[in-house]
Amino acid sequence: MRPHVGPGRLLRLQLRLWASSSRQWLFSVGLMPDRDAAALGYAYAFYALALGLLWIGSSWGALVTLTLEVARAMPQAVGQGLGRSLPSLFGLGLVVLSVLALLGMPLHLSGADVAHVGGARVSRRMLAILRFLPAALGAAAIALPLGTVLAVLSTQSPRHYLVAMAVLLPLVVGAYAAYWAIGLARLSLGSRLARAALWLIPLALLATLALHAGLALWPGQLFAQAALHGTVPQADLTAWLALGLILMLGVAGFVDWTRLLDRSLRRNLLRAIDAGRRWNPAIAAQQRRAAILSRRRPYLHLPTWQGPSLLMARGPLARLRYPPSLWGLVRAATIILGGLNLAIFPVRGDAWLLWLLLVFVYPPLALVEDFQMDTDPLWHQFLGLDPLRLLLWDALLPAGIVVLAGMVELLLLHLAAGAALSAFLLLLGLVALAGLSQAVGAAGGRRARRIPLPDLLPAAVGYGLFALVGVAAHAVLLAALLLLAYSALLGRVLADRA
Amino acid sequence: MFDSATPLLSAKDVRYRYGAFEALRGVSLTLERGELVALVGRNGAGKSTLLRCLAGWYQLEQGTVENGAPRSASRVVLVPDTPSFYAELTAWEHLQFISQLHGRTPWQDEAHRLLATLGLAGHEGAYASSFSRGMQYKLALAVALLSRPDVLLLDEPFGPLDALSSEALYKELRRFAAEGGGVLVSAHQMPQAVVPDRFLLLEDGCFLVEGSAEELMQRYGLAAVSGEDLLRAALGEGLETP
Repeated sequence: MRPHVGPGRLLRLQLRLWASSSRQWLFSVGLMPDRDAAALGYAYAFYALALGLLWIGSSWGALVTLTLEVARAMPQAVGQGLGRSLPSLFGLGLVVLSVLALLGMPLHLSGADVAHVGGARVSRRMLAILRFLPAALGAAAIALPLGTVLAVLSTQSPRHYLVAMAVLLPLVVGAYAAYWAIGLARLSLGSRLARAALWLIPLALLATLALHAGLALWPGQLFAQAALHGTVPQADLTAWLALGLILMLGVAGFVDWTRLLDRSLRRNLLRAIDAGRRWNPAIAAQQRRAAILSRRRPYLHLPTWQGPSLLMARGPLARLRYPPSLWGLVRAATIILGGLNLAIFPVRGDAWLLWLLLVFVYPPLALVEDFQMDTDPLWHQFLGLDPLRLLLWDALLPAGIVVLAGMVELLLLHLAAGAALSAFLLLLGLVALAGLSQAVGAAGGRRARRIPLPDLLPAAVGYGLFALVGVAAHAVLLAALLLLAYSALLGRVLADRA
Repeated sequence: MFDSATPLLSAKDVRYRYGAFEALRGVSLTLERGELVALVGRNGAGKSTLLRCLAGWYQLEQGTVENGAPRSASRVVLVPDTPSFYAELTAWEHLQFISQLHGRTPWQDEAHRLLATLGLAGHEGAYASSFSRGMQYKLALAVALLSRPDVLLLDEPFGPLDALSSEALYKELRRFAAEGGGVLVSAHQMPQAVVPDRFLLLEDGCFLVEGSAEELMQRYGLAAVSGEDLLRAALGEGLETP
């Protein structure tokens, strides 16, 4: 007799799963202190979380403002045309969802789930609803900004976008429930032919859309009415939501448990391999690089120079032997020069938000790529250089290339002498900040009872200073001096880590 | 010049913790010139942590580590169990890089000898990142030996090596010790050919037993001492033979 796992235990499992994945996400973005964190570590985590929420709030405002500006710049006919297309666009979204449901697997069990409930009697409906709710909220988080953009663009005003969002939420949850129902049907149907027949669903939806009628257009029309006229068709929304949920829960009761376990185990295996790539792209890139290089014969040679100058030769040799790594340098230069341009030219106040996002998503790591490898304890012990001197040798060439690119741009801009000097100093400040803030994080190492200062903090403070003084206040020279002073401070911190 | 009476490495009351877990609880040891010492213990006993503390990779929470002279580069060198390499450099260039960085000449003959001894001859021109785990360990060891340290700390060197390679490595370590170096090798399994001068048994972050092979054979009534025998006898737990 298999043990029974009731709703309470399933809920506890789900809560633990959420807590664990939240911790993992928060830790990976620097918001979660590690287990031996001191009070300051937690204080920083709250500070960073508050900043993150502030960033989300201001980004939302910026999204609405920018969309409104684009909408007002558009001819009225385009907006009206878009408004008329909203039902069809929503219908197309349903077609895409149904195809995704047939390719993917909405309900699955993690390794821990399999261990806990794999051999037990479990209410499939309870399991489905517990897994469905967070997934549907995730889908809504993607759909709501998209819906806002469409609502503002089609009305060319922010009048009804809040109503449109309120209507979109149940619409998305209902549509997502239908998506789950199709996915669950794949796990329920025993015959291969019956499973193949499910492909008729997207085809039927597409055909209905092409005929411009029926169920496929109905939910989209509800959204269009809300976006264009601010009306909330409560009865229809309730019906749509109920239809989706009933369909999903109905199918969930027939899920083949063995097939679910089998597919989940296979999926977990593949995800474990993929997780490395997702959580640590640097390691994955390293593995890819090693795999590509192992198929090639080495060309060029390490020069016979003596002393630390050899460090300057190793970087270019590495990049010439593996040219894709040059892309990182191009990206670093683009981001740094992008920041410089933000400060030089009076641009829209919102643009720095996008730049800040870019600088954190794609940090200019190319400046410290060699330094990171050299601070690996195995090699650092042979090099015999303190971290600051090591950074100077390692980053001199890539930083020099970025500065050179910036100088070329400044020359082409024909700025007045004073402005050119300020801009040049700011360029130096940005390059120094990019290198030192990353290096301070990279050379952190493991220290007993050290307050675990998140690697992002030095960069966050530096780029924040730049955005505030250089971009918002448009004080280029002051921003340059501040960044150079802050970089000197980071240099001191790095030197102290010897 | 060093005073021969001064130990090459001496650690006193070394403590280290990972969060709430105390990995090392007041460990003291000395390593003399010409000595080859085996650090044995079960998984999680604290062997790797101790080696990292001795090499200065981890900052001590408490205690001192002295290496008989003002600290300079490469005096104490640790080769971890999974070394990483510069992806775009060949095996030979790794040796060249470290030698030339310190302005050492000539280094080529010694590098050739080390590669031949460790069974890497013929692989000089290949990228080190394409090597197997055993070959990577041998290369890291060759780099370490070429850097001419006084103390060599090796974390699980015999794990990835075959029996012949383990024997060759042991001979090379003996040669290094005979030239005045000190070697501390961690292992939970010690090949039969390896006979250290002294055993240190680490359990739960502190030394449980210490002594030469002869002393331990007498103490526990063993015909020969290997890491496993010592573990089994000292812990008295009847550990299963792997």
